[in-house]
Amino acid sequence: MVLLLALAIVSLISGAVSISVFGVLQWVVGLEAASLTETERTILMQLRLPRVITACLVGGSLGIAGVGFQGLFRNPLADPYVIGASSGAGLGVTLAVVLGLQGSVMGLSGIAMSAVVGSLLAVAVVFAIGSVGRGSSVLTLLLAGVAVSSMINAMASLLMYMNDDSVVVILAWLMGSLAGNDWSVVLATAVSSLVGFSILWSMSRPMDVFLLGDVTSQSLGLDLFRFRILLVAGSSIATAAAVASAGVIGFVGLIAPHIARRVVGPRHLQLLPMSACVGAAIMLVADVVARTVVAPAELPVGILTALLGCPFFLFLLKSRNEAHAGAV
Amino acid sequence: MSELTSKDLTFSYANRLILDRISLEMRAGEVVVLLGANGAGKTTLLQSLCRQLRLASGSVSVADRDITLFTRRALAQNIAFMPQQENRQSELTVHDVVSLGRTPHCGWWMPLSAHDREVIEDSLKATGLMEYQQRRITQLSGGEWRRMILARALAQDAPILLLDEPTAGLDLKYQFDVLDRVRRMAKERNLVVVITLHDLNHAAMFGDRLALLSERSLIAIGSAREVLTPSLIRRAFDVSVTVIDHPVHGTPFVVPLYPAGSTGKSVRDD
Repeated sequence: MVLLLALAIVSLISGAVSISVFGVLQWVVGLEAASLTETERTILMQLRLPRVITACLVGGSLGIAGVGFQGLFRNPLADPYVIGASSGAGLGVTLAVVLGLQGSVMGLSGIAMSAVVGSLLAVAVVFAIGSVGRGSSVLTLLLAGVAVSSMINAMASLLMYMNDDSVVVILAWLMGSLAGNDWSVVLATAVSSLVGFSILWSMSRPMDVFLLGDVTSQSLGLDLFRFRILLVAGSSIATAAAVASAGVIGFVGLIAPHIARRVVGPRHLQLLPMSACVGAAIMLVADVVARTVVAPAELPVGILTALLGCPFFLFLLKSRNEAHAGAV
Repeated sequence: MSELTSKDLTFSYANRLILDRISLEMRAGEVVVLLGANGAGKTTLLQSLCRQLRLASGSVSVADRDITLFTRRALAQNIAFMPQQENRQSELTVHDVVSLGRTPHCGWWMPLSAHDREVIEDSLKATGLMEYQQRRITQLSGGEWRRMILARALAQDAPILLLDEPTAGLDLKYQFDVLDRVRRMAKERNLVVVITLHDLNHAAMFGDRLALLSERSLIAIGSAREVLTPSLIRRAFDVSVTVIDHPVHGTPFVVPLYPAGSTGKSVRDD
């Protein structure tokens, strides 16, 4: 938590216009600080603070969605996009751009809304296919996810190919960015990530049970169908929250749960909040770097999370105790 | 009230009949041992009894109530099932896993009560796992792991206990320990206990009744003396045995007759 706050402060002071640490600190604790100019205050209130909070919410949502999907698949390689959420979002964005849906509802642009709808639809389709029939549904779900994702990606590529003038807009969105979010986006993101988190956190114990396998879960009283639906719903809502406000951000949902697991262990009651914090911290760092390395220009933060996250993840894998390899 | 009854239980998988009209009545306070060759359907029967599998026809009931009428949670409060295998790839500790046995009682969010903690500790003690509580389950040997899932089934504190091969992979001492403990609990707490075992002599020692599965159906059910006969054993397992009295306990004791010439030992000519 302390680390998270410190990162948030760093994030507030850095950017194209630098603002003094003392000024920000005074402002944060509520002093009517004379050391901040009117412009600085506006930058903080209208640009940086919403951005910092969105970064935290997006990272946190991806962190818990990652825990959710890794739990669902009992597979440490699962991430929030594994059952089609990202490709669904991609197709949604592509369609919105191609069809010229530019309106906005509650501060969320037509593009963002179609991304959310697309990702939820893709997840619903995958879930419907994967749940048909009995047996090893987790594997069926995973395979259905891979297949549906490829198909959706192909459809999106086809659309982009036929409308090559929109490709830049679409790509920018798919690379992920936290720029341009105002308070209404913060509110919408906060509500949906909170809903996702509440659903998942209330299932902490069933998620622990589910680690032990389908047969054991049932014999310990878990209604698997209801559990899976709630788990997918909670994780997808959290993913959608992230996708809507920041586009497709890779890797955070994959690595945040792993780091959190090393700190607090595998039990979901502690793991979910910790993974949310870790995800938020990663996003803050990535965002600060994205804003500063090529200032005054910005890098898409999605590129950075993958660029920084990947080596870190490989380092984690290497330093990990071999006895635990593959454990969720 | 904890009787477990199956009536014409029939299960098929991929159009192949696995269990054909099995009818069994198991009473409280009794240990029933399921015997049968590999693939005879022992595990399938156990899983059918606790609704892990969907029956093709027939029914299973607990205290005269059809088990399909129970919610999963209510069923788990009535029947504890110890599987032969489950996912071991997690970083949970022994204490975590045994605690999860309380899930049917405390539900999705209720924290563990003092009573829950007491039951968990008793189950850990009963299986000799007190010192292993904080061990990660990935670090357990096969036998330790089996004792842990037995402890979890005990922590579930259900009136019906279904144990699939609880002694597989255990040292002789723990095999006796587990069977003895299960048997005593069945008597003290008036539980229905159904166990699958491979060792016919353990079955004779610890089972009140033995049920022999072969060719998809029950070919015998009754006391050890009634079930463990050379002809039934030949029919179920395709081996020749002779059955003698245990020199100390007087129970039937199955002695295999090895095929002539297969061991390099000569046959004693009395």
